[in-house]
Amino acid sequence: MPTTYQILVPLIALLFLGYTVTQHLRGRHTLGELIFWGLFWVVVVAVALFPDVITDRLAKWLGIKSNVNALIFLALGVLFFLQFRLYFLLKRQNHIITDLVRKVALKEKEKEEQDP
Amino acid sequence: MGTEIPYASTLIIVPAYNEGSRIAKVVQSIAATGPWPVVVVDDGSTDDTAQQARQAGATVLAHLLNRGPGAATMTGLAYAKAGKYAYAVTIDGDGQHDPADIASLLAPVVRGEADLVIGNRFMKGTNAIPRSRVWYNGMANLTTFLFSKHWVSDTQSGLKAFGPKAINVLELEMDGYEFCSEIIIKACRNKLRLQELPAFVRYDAASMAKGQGLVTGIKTLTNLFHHLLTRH
Repeated sequence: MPTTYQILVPLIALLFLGYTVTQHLRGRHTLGELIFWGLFWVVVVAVALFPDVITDRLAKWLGIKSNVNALIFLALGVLFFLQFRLYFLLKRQNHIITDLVRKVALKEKEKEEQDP
Repeated sequence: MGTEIPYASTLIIVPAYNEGSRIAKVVQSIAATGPWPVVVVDDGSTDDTAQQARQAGATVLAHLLNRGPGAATMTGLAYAKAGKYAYAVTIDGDGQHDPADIASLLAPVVRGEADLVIGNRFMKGTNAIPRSRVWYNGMANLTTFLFSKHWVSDTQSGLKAFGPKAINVLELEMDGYEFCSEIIIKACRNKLRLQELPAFVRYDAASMAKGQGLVTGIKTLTNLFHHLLTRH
């Protein structure tokens, strides 16, 4: 019987995965980004569905005993995602501002040349 | 060399930010080498760069905000494209380059032997280049090579000559100094023919305060990596 957490985490991960796919289809994410984030959320789902197998191995490898790792992992995932979104928003805004500044400069010059 | 220089169809682009004390001299020294049309892209300067450039006889394109040397260079190239100039040459606004090099850089482009010619500071043995610039340039060369698979030994030079194909195909996205590498990477992706020719350079305290030292250079390279790895 799956726990609430084993249902909730894959659902949230699927939402984020869907968002990443949509962004790719809209041309805002490259294929590389889609693959990276796709793999990331698949790993999150895997950890949620098989927490003991994966987190125990991970905990053993890291030398940590608690399965709470999975939750920390998820929290980190959300933070990464938000950071990633912010980065792209900032990049797009920067690009738009530069484009606008350039268009204004060229337009002003054009006006000046037509009506000196 | 005997190549006839097409002065009227070559736009000299001078990106400038707060160069009020030097821009007039730069424009005048360019004009002294031939009747080129000169455009100064004033990149949101807070001083009288635009006014000084205009008084010296240049056309001025004014950015409302400071967007960086890459953005200013792209504005100049967009103006060249819109004005149907066949050739364009970019030269720094701080007076570090010698406008006498413009004609020699342009010659292979005019002869149809190259689409993009870079004025190489290291090919001229008499140039005294600060060590920080040499080190940074080496790192930038390696990074550029990684993405372009083409070795250029002075990727960060601001002195460049563009042929018709280069003016039409190069769309620069990087606003900062990363654009120097971006130009080469995009030129290689678009199969443009690249050449490097020796160019004079002179550094003084003011030009050293700008441009890319080792620390700002590392920041530039980080931006370049980030952009190229996440480009759209």
